[in-house]
Amino acid sequence: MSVKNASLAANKLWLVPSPAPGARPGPRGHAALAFDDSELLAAVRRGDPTAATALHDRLRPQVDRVVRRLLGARDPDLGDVAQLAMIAIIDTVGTFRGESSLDSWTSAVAAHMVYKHIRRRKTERRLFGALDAELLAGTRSPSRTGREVMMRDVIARVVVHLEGIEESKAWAFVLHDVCGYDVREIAKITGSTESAAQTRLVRGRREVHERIADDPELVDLLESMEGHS
Amino acid sequence: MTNPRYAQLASKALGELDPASPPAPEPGDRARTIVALTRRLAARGRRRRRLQWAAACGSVAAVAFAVVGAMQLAHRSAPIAALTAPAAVAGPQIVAHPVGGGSSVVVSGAQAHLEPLDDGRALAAGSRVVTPADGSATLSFSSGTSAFLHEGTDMTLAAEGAAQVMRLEVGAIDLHVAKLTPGERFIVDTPDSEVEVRGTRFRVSVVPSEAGCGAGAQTRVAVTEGVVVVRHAGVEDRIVAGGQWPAGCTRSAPSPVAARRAVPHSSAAQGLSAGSAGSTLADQNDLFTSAMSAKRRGDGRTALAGFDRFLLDYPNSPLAESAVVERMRLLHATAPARCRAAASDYLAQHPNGFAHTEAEVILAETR
Repeated sequence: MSVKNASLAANKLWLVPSPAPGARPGPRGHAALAFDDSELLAAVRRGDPTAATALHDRLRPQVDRVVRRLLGARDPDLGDVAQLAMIAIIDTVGTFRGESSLDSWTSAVAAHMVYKHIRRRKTERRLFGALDAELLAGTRSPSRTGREVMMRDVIARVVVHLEGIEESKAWAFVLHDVCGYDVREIAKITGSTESAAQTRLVRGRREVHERIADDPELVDLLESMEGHS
Repeated sequence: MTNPRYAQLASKALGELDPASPPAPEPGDRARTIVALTRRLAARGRRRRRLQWAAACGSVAAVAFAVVGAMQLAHRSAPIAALTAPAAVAGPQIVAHPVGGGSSVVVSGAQAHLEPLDDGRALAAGSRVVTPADGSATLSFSSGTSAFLHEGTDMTLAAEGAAQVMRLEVGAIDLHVAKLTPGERFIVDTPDSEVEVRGTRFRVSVVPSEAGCGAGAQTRVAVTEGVVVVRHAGVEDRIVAGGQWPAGCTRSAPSPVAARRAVPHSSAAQGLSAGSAGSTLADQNDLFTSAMSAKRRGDGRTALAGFDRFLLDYPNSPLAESAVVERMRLLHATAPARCRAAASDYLAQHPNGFAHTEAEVILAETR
C-alpha cells in the first residue's frame, strides 16, 4: 500500500464490515448481497459512500484476477494497482453503458490500470513480470509433475519471444489471445484506436509465430505439450 | 499470411497461468481499499451535487439572461418615435423659470410664434424653449428632476410620461435626474445621438463637429454623477461618473463654472455669479451666498434659480445639503407638489440630515 493511502486510512477511524464467517471471496461477496448490480452501479454513480463495501466485494476478485495475471502474483505493486483499479471503476462508472457485462467492463478497467502502471514503471517493463516458480505452481495441472516442468520451460521461452517484439504488439497479442479481450476493449485498455489495435494484434500474432518457428526446441515443446493435452 | 499456429500454441500455454481463483485480499488490505473507495465515493457525491447546483444556477441564469436580453432587445428596437406617443402614465409637471432677464422665449407646439418665458410657466409636451446668448433657464419637474439650459440653447420637450424625451438641437443642458421608477426612462435626443439616463447628473451639449473626434459627432456628454448611456451611429456607450463622450475630443462639454464665466450674465444672473473669478470653492460660496441674499430680500424666484444652479454645478459640495433644504423651504409656500418632491429627494439623500424632521412634516402635510 502506498504511503498516501496509509496516511488517508490513518486519519480517521473507519468501521468496515467484516467478511461473513466462512465466506469465500467470489464474484458475489458477502456484502455485495445487499445490492444487485444495477443498484450498486446507481449508488456508485450518485456517489453513495455506503456502497463502498458492496462495490469492493463485488468487483475486487475480478480486479485481482486481471492484475495478477498481467502483473504477476508476486509483484510488489499488486495491491496498489488493484486499489487504483477499484478507484478507477468509481471514476469511470459513467462510461459503463451495459454493452458488456459488469465483469468484462471491470476487467478492461483493471487491465488499463495495469497497462498504465507497467508503462510508467521505468525499471521493469514486462508482461508476466512475476513469472516464477510460485506462479507456475498455480497452473492448472498440479498433479502432472513432468508436464509442470515442461510448461514452465515453454512459458519462459514464450515470454522471452514476447519481449523481443514491439511492446504494443505484445500487449495486443496477450490481451486478445491470452486474456480474451476483444479489439474494442484492447483499444480502450491501450488508449488506441480499434484499427490500430487490430493491426497490432495481427502483426504481433504473426511475429510471435515467426519467432517461435525459428526456435525449433520451443516448437518441439509446444507440439509435445499439444500432444499431451 | 500463414496460419500462426505457434502463436496459438503459445497463447494456450500462457493461458495456463490463469489465476482463476486469486486469494482473498488480506483483511487489512480489504479495509484500506474500502476506506479509499468510501472517500472516493463521497468525493464523487460532493462533486455531483456541486454540478447539479451549478447546472441549476446555470439554468436560472440562462433564463434570466434570456429574459433580460429579450427586454433589452425590445428596449433597443423601440424607436424614439414610439416613445413620443402619449404615455398612459401621467408625466411630471414641468415648470420653467427664466434666468437672465426674462429673455428666454417659448415657441409652443406647431404654432411658430415667440412668447416671453414667464416665470413658473408650465410646459407641455412639444414645448420648445430657446434661450438667448445672454440668458438661461431652469426647468423643474415635479418628479424632482431639474434641468439648467445654458445660454444659446434650443430644446424641445419631445415627450412626457413614462418616457421623458428632451430634444436638444443646439446648446447645452445640465441635468439632475431624480431616481427613475421601474418603467420610466429619461432621454436626451440630439441631432446625432441619444443619451439615456441611468440616473443622475450630467451635461449634454451640441457643438460643431470636430475632425477626427467622435466620428464627427456634434454631441458632447459629461457625466458628473451616476451613469448615462449614449447611443450614436448604432453603437451604445456607457459613461460613468467623471467620464466624457466622445473620449479624447478637445472640444468637450464645458464645465458648468467655465460656461458661467464665459458668458456675461445680466441682472439676476449677474447677481448670482458675482465674484466668480475665484477658486471653485469660492465659486460655491459666492453662488450659495447670492442665492441666500436673494431669499432674504424676498426674491424667491432668483433664490430658487440660484439654488437649482448650485445643485447642478456642485452636487457634491458641502453646502449641497443646505441648498436642498433652502430650495425645499422656498418651494413650500409657492409649489406644494415640487416641495413634496424636494422633501422626498432630501430624505432619500440625507435620511438623517439636519432637516429630516422638517422634510417629514412637509411630506405629511402634502400627503
